[in-house]
Amino acid sequence: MSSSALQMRTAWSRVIAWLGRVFSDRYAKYYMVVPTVLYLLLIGIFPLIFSFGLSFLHWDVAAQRPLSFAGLANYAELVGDDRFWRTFANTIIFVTGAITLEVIFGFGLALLLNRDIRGQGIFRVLLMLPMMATPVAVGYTWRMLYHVTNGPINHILRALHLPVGTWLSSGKTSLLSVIITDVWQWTPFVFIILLAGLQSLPREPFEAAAVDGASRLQSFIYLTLPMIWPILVIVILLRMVEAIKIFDIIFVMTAGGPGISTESSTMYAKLVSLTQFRLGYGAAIAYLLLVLSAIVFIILTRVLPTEVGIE
Amino acid sequence: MVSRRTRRQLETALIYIALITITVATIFPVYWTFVTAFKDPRDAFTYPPKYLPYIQFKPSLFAWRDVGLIKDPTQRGTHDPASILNTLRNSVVIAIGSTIVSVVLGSLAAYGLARFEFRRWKNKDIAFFILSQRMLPPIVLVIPYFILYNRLGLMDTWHGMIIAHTVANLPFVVWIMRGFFRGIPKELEESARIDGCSHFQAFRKIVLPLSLPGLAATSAFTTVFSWNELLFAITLTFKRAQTFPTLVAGLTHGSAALWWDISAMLLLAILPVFIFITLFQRYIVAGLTLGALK
Repeated sequence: MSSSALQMRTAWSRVIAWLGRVFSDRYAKYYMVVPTVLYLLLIGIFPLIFSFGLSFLHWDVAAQRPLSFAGLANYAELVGDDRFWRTFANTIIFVTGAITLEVIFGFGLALLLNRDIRGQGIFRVLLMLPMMATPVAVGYTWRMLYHVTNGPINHILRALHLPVGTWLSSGKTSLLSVIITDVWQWTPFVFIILLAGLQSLPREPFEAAAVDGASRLQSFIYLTLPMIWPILVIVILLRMVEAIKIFDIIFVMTAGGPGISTESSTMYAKLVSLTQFRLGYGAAIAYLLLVLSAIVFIILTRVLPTEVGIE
Repeated sequence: MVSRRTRRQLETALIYIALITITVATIFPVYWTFVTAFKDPRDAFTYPPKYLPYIQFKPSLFAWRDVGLIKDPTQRGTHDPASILNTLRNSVVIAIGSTIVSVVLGSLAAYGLARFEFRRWKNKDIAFFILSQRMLPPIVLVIPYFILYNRLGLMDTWHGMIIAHTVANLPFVVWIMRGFFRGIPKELEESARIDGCSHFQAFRKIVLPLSLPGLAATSAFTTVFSWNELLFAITLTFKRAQTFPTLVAGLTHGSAALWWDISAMLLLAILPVFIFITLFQRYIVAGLTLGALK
């Protein structure tokens, strides 16, 4: 064997030994976690930083103005942009209105139905349909239901001799109608979780309270409420994180109208950046929304059990 | 004086009435879409609305022929069946593609976080970093994606959409599977390790088979998320890779709505969701609350 071939072989075996050391089982944990972290840094965090930088630029594709540094100009414009504040108010009203109603109805129903019910499984399956249904389908379906002249909702109201609604056709009722759709979609979610929560509560404290002569209201306030509270907080925060993003259902139902009465901030940011091509300003709007959901997320991280808990 | 037993029965009856009322209210919108999809244009969208098939109107396959999914030489469809089938195929490919990437990367990361201890950055911090990616309002990502995708040639492609949907699906898989892996007793892997298995082998041969139901449910979730998604799809696809919801969402802008056709397409959109619910109902609450509640 020639010496150069021998050298090659030792070089090879060195490479293999090196590879063996690098890919050794000792580092297995890094090979498991690093790809995901890298993916999210590259596809999640990098665009996020990109977008942050973008919010300090004038980048108006349609106006064919050269790209220039804007400093805080986009954020300054945001402060005085009435349309933005209207969409921000719409988003806040939507989030608080929808979630308040969902909790009231969901919790109320859970309390009412907290006992052994036969055929619970069937009801559960049927109630799960709205929360997983394709948002585009939900939006169109409710557009049909709300139709002022031919829709079944007004028909039923008329049949019951109740006043009919203007629903999506008027700026006065459109946001409420969008909220009702969300309440339809998510009340079952709140209901199912709180019912499961109530049914998993220990019985002894309630029995002891009854022996001591506590009224139903007292045992609700002093026992049920404190015990169910952590679950309620998690449900509310998770709903908030999702509701702040609202786009698809409104897009299909009203496209933000009539006027801008149902336009959410996500829709406005999309309009500004992807229809008017004012990319810098659109990024600034998106960032304000990010700050809002970051606050909710930080609160959520404080209460979300790291151990998979509450069964 | 009403006897205790009658009172009890009355209460039970009231509870069932309440339960049936909310179930009917929940199901009625879906029912309405269902019947509309089987109406003739003459029966759909008339006043008074027709609720009951066979009694108030004769069911018809008009809409299904009109969208071109049932071939009929005597009726020229309003829609191009080729574009509908194309978007359906795109939606399926993107949903499955994103699910595969998220489940492969995500379950490994979940296992790493569930079983090993990281020192420099603590496990909890890594996990919350990953989860935070799911909580972002997607509009913050959509704008830079729009710019970058145009430069990188990812616009209107399958892989572009798979990359985008994976950003939301991957954190979900990590978070949920981490919970599943923690529920599996460590001793099984430890004995496999003693028998000479590497960490990867122990994961593949012991842990993965045991967590198959959880893995299936998690995959079904990510598939449905991707199937339902609109904002990324409407921004990053328009023709070749256009998804089904995007196509349907664009149907009424500008022209009068053909509600029977739209309803037929909505049924197609929620069909996979319906299958998912019947198969995985046990896991849905856990999934939607990110494993915090079961």
